[in-house]
Amino acid sequence: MRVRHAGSGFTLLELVIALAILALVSVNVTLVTRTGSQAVRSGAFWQTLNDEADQTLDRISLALMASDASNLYPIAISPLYTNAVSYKVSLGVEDGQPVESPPESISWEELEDRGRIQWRENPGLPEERGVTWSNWVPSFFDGETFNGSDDNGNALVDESGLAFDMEGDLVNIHLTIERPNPDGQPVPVTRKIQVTCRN
Amino acid sequence: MEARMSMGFRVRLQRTNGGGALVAGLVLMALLAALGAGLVRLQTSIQRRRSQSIDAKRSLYVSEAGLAEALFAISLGKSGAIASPEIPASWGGGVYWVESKQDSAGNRVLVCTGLAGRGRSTITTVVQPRTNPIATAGIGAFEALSVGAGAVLDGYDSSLGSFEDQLDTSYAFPTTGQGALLTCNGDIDIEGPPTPSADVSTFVFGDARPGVSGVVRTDPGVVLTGSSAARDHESRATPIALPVIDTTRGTATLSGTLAPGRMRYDAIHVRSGETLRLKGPLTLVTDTLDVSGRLEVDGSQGKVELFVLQTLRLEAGSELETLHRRPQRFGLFLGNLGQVGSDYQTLAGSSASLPPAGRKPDEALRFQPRGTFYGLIYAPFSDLSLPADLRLFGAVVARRLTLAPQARVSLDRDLLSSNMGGSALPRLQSWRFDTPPDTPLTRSPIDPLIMLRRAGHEPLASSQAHQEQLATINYRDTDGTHRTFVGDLSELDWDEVDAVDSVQWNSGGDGGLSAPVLPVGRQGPGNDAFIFLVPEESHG
Repeated sequence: MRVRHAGSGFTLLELVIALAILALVSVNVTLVTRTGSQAVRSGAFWQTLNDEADQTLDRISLALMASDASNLYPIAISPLYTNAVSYKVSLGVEDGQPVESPPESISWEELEDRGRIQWRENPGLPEERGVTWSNWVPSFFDGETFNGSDDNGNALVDESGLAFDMEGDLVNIHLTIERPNPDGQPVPVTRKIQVTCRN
Repeated sequence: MEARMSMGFRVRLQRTNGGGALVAGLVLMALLAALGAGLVRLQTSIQRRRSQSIDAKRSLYVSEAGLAEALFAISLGKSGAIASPEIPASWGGGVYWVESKQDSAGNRVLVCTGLAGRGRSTITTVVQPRTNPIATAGIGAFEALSVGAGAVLDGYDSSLGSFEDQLDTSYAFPTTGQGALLTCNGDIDIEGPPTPSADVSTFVFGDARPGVSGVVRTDPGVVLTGSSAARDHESRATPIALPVIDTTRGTATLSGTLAPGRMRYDAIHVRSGETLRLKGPLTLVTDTLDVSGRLEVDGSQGKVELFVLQTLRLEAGSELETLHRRPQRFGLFLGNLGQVGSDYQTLAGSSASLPPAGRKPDEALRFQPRGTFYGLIYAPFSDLSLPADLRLFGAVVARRLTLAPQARVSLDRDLLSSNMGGSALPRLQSWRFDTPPDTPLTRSPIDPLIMLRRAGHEPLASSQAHQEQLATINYRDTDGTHRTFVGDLSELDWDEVDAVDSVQWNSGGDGGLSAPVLPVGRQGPGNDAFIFLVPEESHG
């Protein structure tokens, strides 16, 4: 006589079905999780990219806003441009005479496969100090190649990732920031702004 | 459930409700909820950073708007102080206040703090309060300036008293010993005594500032007490629009007193031995002014503006005398002398409109009077020589200026901030970012409008936020009667105002009045009244 213990254990069919359902749910959860994390990484990447472009441009703008247009050097008028500018900032007035800061400069400097934006105070002097504002500035502006023509229609020829051109007291600042995305593909963002030298 | 066993046993099977599906489900839900929360948090931080960046820019714009309001206040003769950290002024969804103080050089230091959302921005500027675009050149020339041997040049401030009240008695001759300002876009030549043994020297008690690439050449025996550094900019001739007077009175030989008003002549002659007095307030335009006798200018009741367009002759032996002693009361403006066929013309400012050098100088311009001159001479087209017999208090600006040997000129520094010949607008000297001050509003990250609402305060409209709201205004009404109004200027009936003489602002806290000023205004065509710019209700 065999005693059958009903309720304990599962049939093979039940197990197979359960496993199949578990697999389906796991795959879906994994897909959702992966999609979510990819979206997070992508969103974070874009936010970082845009933040860096905005922050770098703001720093350049604020520096030139407080400068004296007559002290800007060199002067480049469209379609020419310059990727470095020297200037002095007003510190106030003393005994009726304007007081200026030590000389400062903002320049694009070449790295291995891209460039960086370097701010310097007292450039070339023993007391020089500098800050890197961005390490992701390409050699050429987005859409531009070295061919002697204005490829991207911004009235500048063969401009670099950082370019300045002047119109009197106005300075046009052109900036491209390019970073590799999570897939390793370089993604550029561009910014352009016109600032007035207040002094 | 009952299972029937083949042997007849009946076994009752316990139905179990245990299982892990619910737990698994709950864990799964928790995971998904955590994932969702993470995404929401990420998005929130992204949004917060973006709004902070936007608020920072907004606060910068609010600061600049506050500075613009302060500059407007200064152009009206106020201090530029607006609102306060406790109750700021509102503009564009943000708030701001401006602190104003005066430095030792008379400049206004304005510190404007703007707040918008979470953004905080402070800008500090230094402003020269009122800069007359013509008189700021002092004793100036656009092309060349020469000073003859034995000349004495100094300066004083007529708003502080007479020239005699400001003398430096340590000198053997009457002089203030300071305050001169020579400017030129080109070179400045200062001649010394003709021989080393001569006991006369040339004195310039002040600065001689040549052009960007110019130099100051001084002979031995020249005493220059101030700076001779080249300037970093060139002076530009300021355009002046001629008063519109439709009818001309033709050619006249005048003597006696020319009554106040607005007049135009083709030519005015003053014969030898006769006297013509110009009595202000007077605007007089003439193509030709030929004086062989005596020309008096009386600006005691109102300023006199004399425009000579084609020919000016004050021959040797003629006299030019001002009866008032405030240079702000007389302006002599010379047009493009010698230019045939010009009718109404603008005393234009661009160098391109200047005639070639030496064009009919002797025929169109002879300026050799003797006397005492209190006023401003503006001759952007002319080569002007100031004779030694004319004692000048005020300012003189010409294309080329020659001060004769032994000439005596005293620059009135009060003219540099007057409205004679042009609106004395504030001039920006320095602009820079600064650290926001430590106040409850700047410390808190909360939107300042929300903070103020919680405290029960409402920010002020910009027009009502100036520190000075009440004023004492002296003016001449349309009947020619001089009147005084005290109170809020928006309550004055401006239709009855013909000309403003001066305004004194009540500085509020201490109840004191500012020094009298003539605010920047607009001189409308056909009306020589200054139309006072009453602050309007601004957006905010």
